[in-house]
Amino acid sequence: MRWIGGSLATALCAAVAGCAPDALAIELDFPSQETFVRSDMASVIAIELSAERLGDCPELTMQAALQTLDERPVAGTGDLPICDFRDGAASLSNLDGGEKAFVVVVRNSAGQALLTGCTVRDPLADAQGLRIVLTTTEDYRRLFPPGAPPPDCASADEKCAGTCR
Amino acid sequence: MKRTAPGLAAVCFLALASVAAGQSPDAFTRAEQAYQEPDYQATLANAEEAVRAGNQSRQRLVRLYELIGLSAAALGDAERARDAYLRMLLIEPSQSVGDDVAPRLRAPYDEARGRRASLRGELGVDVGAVRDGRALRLAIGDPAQMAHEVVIGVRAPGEPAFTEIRRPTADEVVAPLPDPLASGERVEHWVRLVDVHGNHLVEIGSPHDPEVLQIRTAAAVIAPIPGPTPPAEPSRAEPSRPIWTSPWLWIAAGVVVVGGAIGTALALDATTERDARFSITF
Repeated sequence: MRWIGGSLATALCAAVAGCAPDALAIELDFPSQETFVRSDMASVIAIELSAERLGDCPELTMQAALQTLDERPVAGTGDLPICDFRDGAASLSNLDGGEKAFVVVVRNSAGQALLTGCTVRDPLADAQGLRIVLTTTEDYRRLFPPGAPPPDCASADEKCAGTCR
Repeated sequence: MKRTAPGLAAVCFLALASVAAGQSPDAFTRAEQAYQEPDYQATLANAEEAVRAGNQSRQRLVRLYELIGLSAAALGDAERARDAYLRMLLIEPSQSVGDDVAPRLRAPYDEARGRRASLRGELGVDVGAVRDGRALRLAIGDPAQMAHEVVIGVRAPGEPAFTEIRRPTADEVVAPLPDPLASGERVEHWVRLVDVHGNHLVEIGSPHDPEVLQIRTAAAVIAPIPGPTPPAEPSRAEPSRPIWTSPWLWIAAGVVVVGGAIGTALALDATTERDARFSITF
C-alpha cells in the first residue's frame, strides 16, 4: 500500500510542479534612453478585470498617474527606483489566472508622472512574456520640450551606476 | 505624380462621373485635376481639404499625402512636403514618388524616408482574442501618433449585421465582444485605424470581405480513466495469479491516472500562480 501512496504523491507532484509556470517576463519599453535617465521611480500594479472592464486601461492609467485609483490591485511592486526594474530587482508575486491590467507609472524625484503604460493580459494563459510600451505624459512634455538641455546621465548604465544624476 | 495618360483618363473619368451624377467633384477629384494641369496651389489646397473632410479610404489617403508632398515641394515648402511624405510612408511603406521626379520634389521624400527609418515600429494592427473569447485584443503600432481611434466591426458568421465598436487608440486595445464566444467558434471582423478626421490609416478586412478569427480557449481537459473498475471488496490474491489480475494493480493505476488528470486539470484551469520579473528596453 505504501507504493500506491508514493505513486499518488509522485503523480500529483509531477503534474503540478512539472507544469508550474516560469516567471512572467515583463518588458518596460521606454521610448528612449533619455526618457529612462530622466526618470527616478516606477511602480507596476496588476488589477483584476471583469469582462465588462477589459477596455479600462486608459482610465486606470490616468487614475494611477494621478494617484486617485480607488480599487485595490491584486499585486504591485510599490514605488521602486527605476534601476531596480532594469537590474531585475523588481517583481510581482502570486499572479493568478484571469485577465489583468498591468499599469505602469514612472515618476521623477518630485513625484510627477513622466511616463505611463498599460496592457491587459492573463498571466497564466500566455506562455510568452509581455511588453508594456511607455509613452510620455503631458508633464514630461512640459518639463522637457523639444530643445531642452540633455540630461546629465548619458546612458542608463551611467545612471544606474550612480555616476551621474 | 507622373502625369500619364492613364492618370489623365482616371481624372477625366472621376470628373465625368461626378458631373453625370449631378455633383460637383469632391476635393480629392479636384486635387487630382489640379495636379494634372498642373496647378500646385490648387492641388495642395484641395488635397488638404480632402484630408480634413475625412473618411478617406487608405488608398485615397496615401494618394492625398503624395499630392500634398509633391505640391508642397514644388511650392518650396519642404517641411510641409516632408511631413506629408512621412505620413504617406507610414501608411504605405512601399509607396514611392518614382525616380523620374525632379530632384527638388524628390529631396523631401528622401528625407522623409530617413525620418521613417528612425521611427521605431510600423503603423499597423494585430488582432487576437483574449482568453475565453470575451473580447478582441488589438495591438496597435503607431510610431508617429497619427491614429485617433480604432473602429472594429464584429459579428458571428451568418449574422446579417456587424456590431461596431469604437475605442480610443492605445498600444493595446481590448474590445469586449457583444456576446462571448465559446472555444472553436469563429468571429468575423473588420478593423479600421482612423486619424482624427476619420481617414483610414489601416484597413483590415471589410464589411463585404471580413476577416475570420477562431476563438481558442484554454479549457480544462479531464483525461478519461482507462482500465476496468476495481472490485469494491478486494479479494485475497492467490500467489499463482498473474499480476494484471490483481485488483491492487488497477487501484494503483487508477490512482495514478486520476492524480495525473487532477494535476493537469489544475494546471490548465489556471488555478496556479505565477510571479513576474521585469526588464527594460529602449
